[in-house]
Amino acid sequence: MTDDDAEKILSQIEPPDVIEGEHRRTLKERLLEAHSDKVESPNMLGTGILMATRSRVWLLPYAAAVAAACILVGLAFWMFGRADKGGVRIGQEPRAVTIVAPTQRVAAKPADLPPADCLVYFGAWRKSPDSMDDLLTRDAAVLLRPAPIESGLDGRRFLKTMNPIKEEHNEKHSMRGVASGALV
Amino acid sequence: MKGCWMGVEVGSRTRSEVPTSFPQDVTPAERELVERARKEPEAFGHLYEDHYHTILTFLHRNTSDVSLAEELTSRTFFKALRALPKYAHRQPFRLWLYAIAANEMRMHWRAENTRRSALASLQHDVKAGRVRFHSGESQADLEDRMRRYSRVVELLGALPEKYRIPLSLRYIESLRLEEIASITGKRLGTVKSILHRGMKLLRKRAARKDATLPPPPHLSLVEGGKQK
Repeated sequence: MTDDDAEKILSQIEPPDVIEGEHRRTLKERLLEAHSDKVESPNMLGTGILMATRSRVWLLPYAAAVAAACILVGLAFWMFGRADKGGVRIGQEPRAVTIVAPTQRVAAKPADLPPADCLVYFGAWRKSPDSMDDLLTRDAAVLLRPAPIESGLDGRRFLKTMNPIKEEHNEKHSMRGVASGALV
Repeated sequence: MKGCWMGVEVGSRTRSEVPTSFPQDVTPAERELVERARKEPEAFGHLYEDHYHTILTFLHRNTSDVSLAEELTSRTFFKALRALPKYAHRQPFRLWLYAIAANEMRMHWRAENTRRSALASLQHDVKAGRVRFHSGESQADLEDRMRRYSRVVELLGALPEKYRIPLSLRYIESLRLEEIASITGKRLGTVKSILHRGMKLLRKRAARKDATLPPPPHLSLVEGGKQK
């Protein structure tokens, strides 16, 4: 048998007719119903996802989230970095003597100081002097007045802000006197 | 497998090589109807009415089971409805539906390993009045036709998947080679080659184990040629 013979056999096959039944009508009804639903209430979420997928718009929320996370992390590092350097923490309740040290090597632990109006410190606490006397013999100024603490100011800037007060005290008292008066 | 080496595409073929485009065969009326069908359910209903029988018959000829053919027809039209926005008039709507139906059939074959006897299904459907052979002849003649037809369907069904649908489209649906290429997404030469090899395999299998096949009116699978 050749290919032609086989082809003839296949082409001579007389397939039967399928007699259409209820299926034709019911399927049409279901299709039209599905079509109406689709047209009347389009799947906005699906359409949105499809469009976003095609246009790469979907990258935007991720990019925004990453950017926001970077900003937050940066802000956190900046704030904690400031705190480590002796800056005034935002929201901290001031309750100690203000010590302004021109040289950053002079510092004191807040716990060692009596309660006072406010505290500004800067420099490294690890280099704290052995005693208050030691502290006060250095070139330090202890201000008795309530110092207006501005949240977020670091020690150096605070010092600059307080300069007029310091100068006023320097005129009347020695540095040492001022300091001991504040601490005792 | 697609790839690119030194700026030259390797192993891929360009879109133009695959004859999937028959814009000339898409009539303006059909184009307009499809465009309307994207928005209007009534227009989609017209498309459905035009093509329901074609698809149902095609699926039945490949499955010999009316219930299964109806189920696959439902799936085909629902998929067509969902994919209608993507239909781009590159081929007539009928060929597009054929392609979806063929895919549905492939998926069904892969999911269902067991196959019912085509003859048993056919007999059942004839008895239930769901299938009719065009013969005003005797009961014996009807039985003979059924056996011959179901035997060919079973032979086709036993072929590897890549031959089955092209052979069915060519010799039972009587489609042109270009149309088969469009439905299967293969090049014209590939389709010819598949048909040739499929026919060779079919002939070989028919000749080998078909002593029981009743002879068709003019030719016999066993006696009509050399038996190997």
